[in-house]
Amino acid sequence: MVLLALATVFVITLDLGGGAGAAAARGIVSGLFSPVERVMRVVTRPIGDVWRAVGEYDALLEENQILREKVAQQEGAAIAAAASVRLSQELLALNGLPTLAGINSVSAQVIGEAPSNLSATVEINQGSDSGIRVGMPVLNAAGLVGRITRVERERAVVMLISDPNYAVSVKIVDPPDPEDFVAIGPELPDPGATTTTVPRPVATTAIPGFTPGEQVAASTVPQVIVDVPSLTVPAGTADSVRETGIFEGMGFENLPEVRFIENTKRFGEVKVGSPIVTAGGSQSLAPPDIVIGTVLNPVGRAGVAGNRYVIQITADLKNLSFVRILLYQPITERGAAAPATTVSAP
Amino acid sequence: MIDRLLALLTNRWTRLVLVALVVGALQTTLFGDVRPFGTVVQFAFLYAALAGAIHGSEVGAIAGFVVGFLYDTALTTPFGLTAAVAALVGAGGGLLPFLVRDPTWWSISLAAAVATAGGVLALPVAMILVGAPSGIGGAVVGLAAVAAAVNLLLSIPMIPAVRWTLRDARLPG
Repeated sequence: MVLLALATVFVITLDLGGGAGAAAARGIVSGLFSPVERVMRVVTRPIGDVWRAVGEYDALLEENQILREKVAQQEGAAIAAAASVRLSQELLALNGLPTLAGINSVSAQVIGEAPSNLSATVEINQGSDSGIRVGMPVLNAAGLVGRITRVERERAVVMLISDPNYAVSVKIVDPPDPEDFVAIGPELPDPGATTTTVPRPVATTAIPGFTPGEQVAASTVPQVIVDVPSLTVPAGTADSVRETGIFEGMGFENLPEVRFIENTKRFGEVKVGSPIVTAGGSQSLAPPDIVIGTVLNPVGRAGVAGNRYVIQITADLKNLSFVRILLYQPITERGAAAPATTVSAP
Repeated sequence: MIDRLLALLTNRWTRLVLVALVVGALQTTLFGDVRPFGTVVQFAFLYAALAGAIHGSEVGAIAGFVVGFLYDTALTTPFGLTAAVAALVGAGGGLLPFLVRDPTWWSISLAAAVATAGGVLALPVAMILVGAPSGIGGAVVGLAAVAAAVNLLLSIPMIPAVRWTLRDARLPG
C-alpha cells in the first residue's frame, strides 16, 4: 500500500514537473492499452449507437426542426458574409498578412467522447499519419473547437475549449455603434411613390384604334419593390477597436470566460454580443482571427486584474461530428511535441 | 518453459492486468458514449471497489492502481491522479469485511456503490490538491449519486467476474 502511494505521488510529481519521464510512462501505458481500446471501440459502437438512438431521438427531431428554420434565416446573411470574408482575405493577402486560407488543414471525424466528467475531450480518427501534431488548433464550421493534446498514428485526442485546462489569447472586437453604420447596396425606393412610365416606341401602324398625332397620357403605377439584400458596414471613420485577453475553459458546468480585459479609454466598455476571436501572435496556440464566440455578460471583479466576461461559444461542442485541424503548430508546442506524441503499435 | 508460461498466464495478477485492460477499454469507449442522465459511468472505480470488497483492501488498491493508470491515458488530468483515486476506492471497498462478518452479494454491491461515490467526490478534491483546475462545483454530488446508482446495478453481473479474475488457483496442500 505504501509502495503504491509512493509510486502514484512519484508519477504525478513527474507529470506536473513536465518532465519527459512522465510522458514516456504515459506513452508506454498508452501503447499497451491502445490496441485493446481500439478493438473495444469497434465491438461496443453498436451499443452506443442504440443508446443514442433510443435516448436522443425526440430531442434530435426537435433540434432538426429548429436548425432547418435557422438555416433558412441565415442563408441570405451567409452569402453576404462569405463575400465579406473573401474580400477581407484578399486584402490581408495583398498586404502580406497571414490568413487562415493560407494554412493547410485536415478533416477528421469525431469517434469518441470524453470518458470522464471532469475533462472535456473528444477523439478523432486522424493522427500523425495525416500530419497532425500536438498543439494544432481544431475548428468546425462555427469556429474554434479546441486543440490537439495527444497524437497516435491514426487517431488523436482534442482538448475542447470548455476544458478547464484550456487557455488561448484572444481579442475582443468591439463593434462600432449602430449609428455609425451605413447601408450599401441597391437604394430602395419609397413604396408609396408614383412615377411616370414612358412607353417603349412601337410601330404605330399595327395598333388598332390608334390615331397618328394623338398624345399618349402618362400612366401612374406603383413601382414593384424587389427584395434585394443590402449589406450594412461601418462608416470609414468608425473603425473597430480591439482589446486582448485570455480565454479560459471553465469545465463541466460553467461557460468559458475571458480575463484581463480592461475598459480603457480608447476601447470603451465591452458590449454584450461583441465577437471574440483568437489573437494570434508568435506565442499563441492558434493563428489569428478564428471565431470563438460572443460576450454573454460581464462578471464584476474588484482590483486591477480587469473584468472577466462570460462567453457564449459559437461551436456546439456537445454535438461534434466532423472537425478541421489546421496544420499550424505553435512555436511553444514544437519542442514539447516529440515526447508528448505517442505512437502506438500498428 | 511452457509450464512456466502457463503458470504465468493463469496467475491471478496476470488475470488482474488482462481484465483491467478490458475494463479500462470499456470505460474509455462504451461508457464514454453511454451516459445515463448525462453522467459518465465510473466502471473503472467499480472494478477497483469490487476487488477490494471481495478480496481485501490491498488487492483492491492494486486493481484500482492498474485500471486507474489505463484510464489516465485517456484523460487530460495529471498522469497518475486517477490511479491514486482508484487505488483509494479499491482500498475503501476493502473496508467492507471489517464492517460485515459474512458479506452477501447485495452488501458487496452496496459497498461498491458507496466507494464509487466516494471516488467521484474525491477526484476533484485530488485535482485541487495538485493544482489542476477541475471546473466543477456542487454538481459533483449529482454525478456521484448517479455513478453510485448505476454501479449498484452493474455490480450484480460484475461480482462473479471479479471473483473469477482474482481467485487464487493454488489448491490447499
